[in-house]
Amino acid sequence: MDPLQFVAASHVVIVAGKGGVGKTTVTAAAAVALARSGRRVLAVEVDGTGALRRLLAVPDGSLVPLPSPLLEDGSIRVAAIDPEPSLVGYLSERGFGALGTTLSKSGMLNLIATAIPGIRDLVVLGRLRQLTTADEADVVLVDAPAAGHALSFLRTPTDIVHTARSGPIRQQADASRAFITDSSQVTVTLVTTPQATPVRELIETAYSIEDELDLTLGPVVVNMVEPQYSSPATPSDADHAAREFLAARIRAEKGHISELADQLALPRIELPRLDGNPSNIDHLQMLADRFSS
Amino acid sequence: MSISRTLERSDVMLVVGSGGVGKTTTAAALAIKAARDGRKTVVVTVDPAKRLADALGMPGGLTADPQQIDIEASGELWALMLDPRTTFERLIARESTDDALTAELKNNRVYGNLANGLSGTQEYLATEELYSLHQDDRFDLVIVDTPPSRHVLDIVDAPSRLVSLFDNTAYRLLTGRGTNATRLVGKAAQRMVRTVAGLVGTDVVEDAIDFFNVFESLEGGFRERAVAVNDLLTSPSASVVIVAGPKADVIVTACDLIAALEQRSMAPDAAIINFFHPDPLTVFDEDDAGRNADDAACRLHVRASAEQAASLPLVQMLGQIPVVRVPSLADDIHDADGLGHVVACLADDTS
Repeated sequence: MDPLQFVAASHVVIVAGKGGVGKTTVTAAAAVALARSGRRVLAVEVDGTGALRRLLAVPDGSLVPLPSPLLEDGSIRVAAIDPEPSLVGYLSERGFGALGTTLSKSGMLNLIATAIPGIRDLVVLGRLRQLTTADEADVVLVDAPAAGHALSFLRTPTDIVHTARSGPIRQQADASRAFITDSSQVTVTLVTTPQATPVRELIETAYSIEDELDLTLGPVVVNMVEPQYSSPATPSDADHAAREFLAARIRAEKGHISELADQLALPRIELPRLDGNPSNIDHLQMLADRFSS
Repeated sequence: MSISRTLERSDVMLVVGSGGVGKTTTAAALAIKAARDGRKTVVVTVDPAKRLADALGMPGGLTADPQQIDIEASGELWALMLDPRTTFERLIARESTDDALTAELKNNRVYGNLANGLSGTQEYLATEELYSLHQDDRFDLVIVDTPPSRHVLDIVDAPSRLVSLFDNTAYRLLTGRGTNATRLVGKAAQRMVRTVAGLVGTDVVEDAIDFFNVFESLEGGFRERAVAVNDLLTSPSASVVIVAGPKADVIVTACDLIAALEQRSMAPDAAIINFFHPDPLTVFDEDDAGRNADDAACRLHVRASAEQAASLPLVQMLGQIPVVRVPSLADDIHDADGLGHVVACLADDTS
């Protein structure tokens, strides 16, 4: 079966994983793969870092989707949901209008965020829901927040229930939870590298996501897999050393990938480790090839 | 000054860097090196992954209290895992003179949220932990593996950020501590409270006001402590080690971090760049030009060259400050052998 089918099985795909595994690159490569298969793609950045915008060469972060110049037909558009302005916007819409401008100055915003941790993530999820409902894209790819954040971002609608038992925040949490747990709407794709610690963490995260949060998992992406190598007919010492190093690495990676396969019954997409600049469109095209082969 | 010298003259060491650069492993390796050099070292980690504990020979995992690790060293090695809740409770217990108040606080939801690692709190508590371990006679070097935060600087700004909460206008309004000028806008404050109550429910707002009122009584202690922590972090016996990987985007982040640290009088004392690939073709001659791109030696040569080039801006920015390059292994570092590899690289540094 075409791996793209898995990726595009739902309308919204949240790409998550621990810091440094290449989530943003994977999101961009998946966007290219899906666009090439004729789908209209909306790529969304939610952490305000600008990494996805830079990779897809969209100059300015904007909630209004802008087409990426990397594909001439404009089939990938990029939107940015920045947490801070989103929270101000959300509060202004709900009766803080008069205080809106003084909101951040008076520190009220920090105070609200202190009393209700997760409100930023919740507002981002709310904006995401609005955006995906209004947009005509076939697939929405979300580059989830980096570092230890992946799970806490997805966990927010469940956790916030402990803080807000009534009122609009609670309603927002319930609506967001209904949205992200609807498997026809949202799946989560986890990204890892083929190494011991990231693989172990991915397995734990996967179980938490399915069992505790009741979200649906899409394929797992194993990024930066060392490709096979060749060697000259009459190898020198340098060749022996290089082969030995790469063989040991490939052996170790295979071990971790098979541990992943044993523990998680999910389709797997392996992306090669490429040398060179990942913001190069050729680089993204090469990775995109792996999504459809 | 080499890494060894930096370790020798430091009482506290912050290990900083963005996610995925091997920060936790590097902090552990630095601690092992210091212990071997005779220091009574304690390393504080924030990474709950059990593999580091395994690599340190602590199969049961790390706890919130320092545990001594059995290694061959003239000094000592201790390790603990930062537990925000425990640290926060200890902090409140120390600052509070009223037991009833403390008990009340523990049932407060806003307090619960704060103690459970709300943004900025974990960073503050890491510095708090660093300070109290520094005061502890059992240790003469404290190494802190900083939390993985989106904004790495959160850790160094944490003490002043907590204090800034006390100076927050909205906070002063809510706790009724406004000056005459701000009392005039008391009506606006009440409107704010009503609006927030409409948003999250009255009980949350009541909890918040209760919490801030109790918190207020602890203000003096917190302010003093924040100043002390800040003094410690900027003192000559404190050092900062920056950890990075040889990739362009990681290096850009590291350079930005250094610039920001310098502004805060916390210029780094050393840098460690992990994951350098070996270059089997250090002399790339004519014969090598005919190699295929997927040729093992050629691939590693291209990769190693790209890594050297990517790291250059960081190396140049650091000037005389020592940079240790740690070679990439076939597998990631998750056991005692892997840690030993990093320790050996630190020991080899003679810059």
